Amino acid sequence: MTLQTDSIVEIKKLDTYLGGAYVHKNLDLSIKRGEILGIVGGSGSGKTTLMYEILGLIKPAVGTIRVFDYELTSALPDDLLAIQKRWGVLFQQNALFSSLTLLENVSFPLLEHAKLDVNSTRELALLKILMAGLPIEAAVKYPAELSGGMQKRAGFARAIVLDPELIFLDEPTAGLDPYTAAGFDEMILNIQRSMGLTIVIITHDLDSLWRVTNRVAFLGEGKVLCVDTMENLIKNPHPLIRHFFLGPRRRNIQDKHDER
Amino acid sequence: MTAQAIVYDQETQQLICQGDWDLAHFSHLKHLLANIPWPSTGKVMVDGSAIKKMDSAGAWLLVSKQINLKERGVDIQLQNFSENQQTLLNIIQTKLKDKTDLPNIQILSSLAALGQNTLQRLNQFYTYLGFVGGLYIETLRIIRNPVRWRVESIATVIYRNGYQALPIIALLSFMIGVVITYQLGLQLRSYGANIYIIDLLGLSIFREFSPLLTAIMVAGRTGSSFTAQLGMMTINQEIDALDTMGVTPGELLILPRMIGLVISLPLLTMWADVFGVVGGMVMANNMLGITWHDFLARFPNVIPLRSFIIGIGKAPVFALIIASIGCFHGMSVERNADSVGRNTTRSVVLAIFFIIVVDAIFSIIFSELKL
Repeated sequence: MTLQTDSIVEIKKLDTYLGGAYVHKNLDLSIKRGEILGIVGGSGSGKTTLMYEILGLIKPAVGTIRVFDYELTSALPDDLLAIQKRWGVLFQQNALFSSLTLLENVSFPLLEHAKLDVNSTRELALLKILMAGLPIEAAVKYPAELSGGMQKRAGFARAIVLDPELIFLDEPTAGLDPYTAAGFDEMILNIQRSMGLTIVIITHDLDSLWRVTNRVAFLGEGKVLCVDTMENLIKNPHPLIRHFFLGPRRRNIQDKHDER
Repeated sequence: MTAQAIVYDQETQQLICQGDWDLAHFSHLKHLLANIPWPSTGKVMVDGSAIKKMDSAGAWLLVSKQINLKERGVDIQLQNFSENQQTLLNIIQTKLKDKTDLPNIQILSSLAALGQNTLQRLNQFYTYLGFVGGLYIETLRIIRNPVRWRVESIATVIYRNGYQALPIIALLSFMIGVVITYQLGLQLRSYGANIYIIDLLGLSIFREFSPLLTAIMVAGRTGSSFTAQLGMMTINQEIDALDTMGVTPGELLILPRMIGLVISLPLLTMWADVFGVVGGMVMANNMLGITWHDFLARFPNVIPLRSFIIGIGKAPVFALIIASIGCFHGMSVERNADSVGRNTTRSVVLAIFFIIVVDAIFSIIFSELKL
């Protein structure tokens, strides 16, 4: 399978200048098709900024970002639209439309881009709501009426509704109880396996990192310090990485590691 | 290529799926599936070995058809799908199995909606009274304790909603003065009663136009910003945070806004008085030939101080209406974006409405008192 080795996102020599300081300096990263890539790093290391740049929401100062073989920084509006139909995003704060019900939220991308009949749109949206592990009664509720975990699932349902090839998840398990978070991990794995997606996860949740990711990119000092599997990453001697993984909560990780 | 996405062999009851089964071809596939002469009983084999690409939309089509036909007594068997496709089909099968109908949303009859609306409005008015009562108690609590007087917040409110409104208010009242003089001057000139423009202008500007127009302008400018600010803070849980820190939102946010506006609106009204009269004076000079000197000499003789005080006296009442309605609607925002917009509109409309109602009441009172 040559497709597996293709990279779906290719970032080269990226500089980001925000608020009077460089967030990224000479950053390189490539995301392979079909993998689950974790992005980690201390707070303020520019993880979310990097995601925003790949999404085209923030313009980098220098450097190139290729997504689906389009050059993002100079893409024409039509190309950009074509790219946007092929990815889905779960934002950190879920970014659900507060004045629409959950069903309307999830149907929204379908209505805008898929041009299906009303009934199919509804049924497909409901399917995604169910696949995200939400009860059917939740479909008619407004985001404010849902719990935090349900809002995350709702955001995820909306992210996968167009069957995108590439999904970005910004802190998908933050603020969830361990049981729900584990369920979320399983759901991500399940959907990734069955639909062959590429998933980029920004997370601090070490359990999640162990459970779902194929590779993990560690952001620090404005660049990607290391991209590797979790097993190899925690053995990396770089002080920032050691500090991150071998802090006071280390025991938890090593137990996990031993289990595997 | 997509024309042959489905090949159905009626003899062997076998259906072969080919090509791309994804969202992009969804409508086409759905159409093809609907037009297949399905048998009334028995078994149909669906072969997926030739499918190049299948996503959840395509898988849903197959599974929903399967469920649909099962009810009619036809058994569809899916076979030769790749491992990934089979997993996807299985996930969708289990999900659709426990799927129930959406709960019904009750649609109210127009009469019931009217009733519900009325009750909601009454309830809101009731809550508003509670809000005003609460503020009154807050005031009593804070007034005894000068440490809790938020002088800085009050100053900010005066700066933003008083000082920064000066240019627009000046321009507006100048133009109103010009317009009134022009309209009245036309009538007066035909009677040769040019000089009486001073009486008419002074009285109408002082007593009605400047308090009313200033209040309406401020309701649009300040009332809406109060609602939007407090609404955003409510959504952000900032109000809840204040409450838990032992600082009431009334003390920190609402009372300074009310006091600040009660101070600035009379001042703005005075400012509007000046520019309204100046506007009239310029027009009287140009159109009616009344010199500056005549105008200013006659003005204090025919316009009693009472008129000025009555006009200014209404302003604090209007200020209380604007600030309390603005803050109330800000605090009662629900946690969605729609609600902020709705409440902002409502706050401005209600404030202007009540300003005019109260102004009418004032007129009645003043005429009874022969002021």
